[in-house]
Amino acid sequence: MNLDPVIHAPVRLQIVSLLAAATEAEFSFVRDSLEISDSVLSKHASALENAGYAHIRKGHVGKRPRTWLKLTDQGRAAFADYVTTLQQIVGHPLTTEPHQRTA
Amino acid sequence: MDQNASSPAEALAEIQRTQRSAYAHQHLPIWYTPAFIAAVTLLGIGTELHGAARSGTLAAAALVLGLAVAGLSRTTRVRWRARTWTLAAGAEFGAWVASIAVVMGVTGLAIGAADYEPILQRAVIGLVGAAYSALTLRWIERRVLARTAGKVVR
Repeated sequence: MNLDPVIHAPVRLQIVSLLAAATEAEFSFVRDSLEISDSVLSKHASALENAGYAHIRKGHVGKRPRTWLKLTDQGRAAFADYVTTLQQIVGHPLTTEPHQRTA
Repeated sequence: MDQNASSPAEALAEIQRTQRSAYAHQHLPIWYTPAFIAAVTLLGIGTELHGAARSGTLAAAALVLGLAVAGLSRTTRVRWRARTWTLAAGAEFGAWVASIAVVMGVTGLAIGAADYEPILQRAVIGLVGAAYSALTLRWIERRVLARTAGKVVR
């Protein structure tokens, strides 16, 4: 079974997992929760946005700039498919093909 | 996440770990339940008053409520989806909210017997409810978090 390479990369899987549980999350919250750097989060968030899986919104709260991340409908559907695929694989542990990393 | 360990079972476990860790990172400010209780208390006190005092107290209740909502909006860093809740977590949180009402009700009965002024009664009830909710907020957050174990939110 094929796992979505956009999601399957380890850091992106963490980002998408977090965003799947949220309507919207602030950039700094995702960074702190996942314990990754600004640059790493920026890079992977951009990759998710380019794939159409995430939306990045910049705004202000008072005078402070804030960046918010959210999954698009396409991203949520892709993550749901990804989890379903994982659960199917786990539910069928006798698969003969070794699992291949795709990203 | 281990770069080399990505079996399907490990990936599923990582999704759970990530989501639970994120829940644990989000703490609502300790003042939010006391602020809402204060607004309700002021509203109750306002109903006991008349004229300008009533208008002033009701306006203060609205102000406290508005400030609480604005403050929460400024400090909230993540908005969770409703489906992050499990039935057990929702029941636990509901029981906590009910316990605040019980504490305030019992306080009302206790001070009612002492024949205090109605305004003073409402103020004391509000104060006790606010203190109870603030003191137990982190505890209930931990309990609710524990009740979300094993859930993968898609």
